[in-house]
Amino acid sequence: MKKLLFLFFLPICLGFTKPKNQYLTRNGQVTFFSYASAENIKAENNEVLSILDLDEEKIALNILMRAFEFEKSLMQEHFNDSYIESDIFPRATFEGTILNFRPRLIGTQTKFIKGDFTLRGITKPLKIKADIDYSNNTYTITGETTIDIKDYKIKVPQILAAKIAKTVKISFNFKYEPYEK
Amino acid sequence: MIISASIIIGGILFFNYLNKNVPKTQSIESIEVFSAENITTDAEGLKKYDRYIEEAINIKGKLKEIKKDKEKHTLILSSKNETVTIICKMQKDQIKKINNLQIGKTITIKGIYKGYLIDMILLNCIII
Repeated sequence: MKKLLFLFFLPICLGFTKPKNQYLTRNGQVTFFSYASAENIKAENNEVLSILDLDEEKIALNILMRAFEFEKSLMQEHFNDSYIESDIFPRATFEGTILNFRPRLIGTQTKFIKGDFTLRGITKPLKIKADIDYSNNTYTITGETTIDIKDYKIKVPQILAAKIAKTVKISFNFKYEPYEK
Repeated sequence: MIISASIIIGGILFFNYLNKNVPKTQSIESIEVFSAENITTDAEGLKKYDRYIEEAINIKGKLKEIKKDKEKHTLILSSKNETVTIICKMQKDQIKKINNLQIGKTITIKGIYKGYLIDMILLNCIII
């Protein structure tokens, strides 16, 4: 809950002090891919909220789990009801610091973002390699990482356990614009 | 013979069940109609709409912005509270209608409510 409040109030609080140094996207894209022997599982979420704070050199994400779109309705149902339990854990969050970040460097820089990822109420440290591009006063951050499903206690029925990969690949693409309240 | 036929029919039905696509919003009945102008709350107050999660709802409101990313279109409607918008990710078959929209005009969309972050989020939206 504290993390959620942080995400809600960070832009507001920072907005009063240094409005030019924070960037926001409400339409960040996160996709995940999991290999399964029967059929690969893929879903996309284009409504991810993210704040990039240049002063703090930090990034924060808030992901609404029900906003992941699947092609097959049964996969979507299983994802929300059985695996993620979206009613109980509606959001995933990430807060991290961009290491050795040069905020106003024009062009692309590849950096590590070190932080905490919370999914299903479980928080684990995560270090992600990302490309950060700055041009025309917008930032684009792209990259990918993998997470281990057992770290977040995602329950896979025993009958399917051998057919579903133990890791999930997560890709992201965020296009930030200056946040002006 | 009857057993074989039953197995085949059962197999087909099960296969269809497993491979059923997400239904089009046109085929789902809306359970509530809202006016965006009456959504006055801040993000914290959006919790009261949780009972509509995964339901189809209609929202009438002023079109603030149209976002396009490849074939994906998102409409943003304004609410009474400036910090809260209604984000409507559009169904793919709505492109023609979207091309005729004008910013500032009042439109009604139907979509599946998914919850909120600092905005209300609806997916599979159609213009009605």
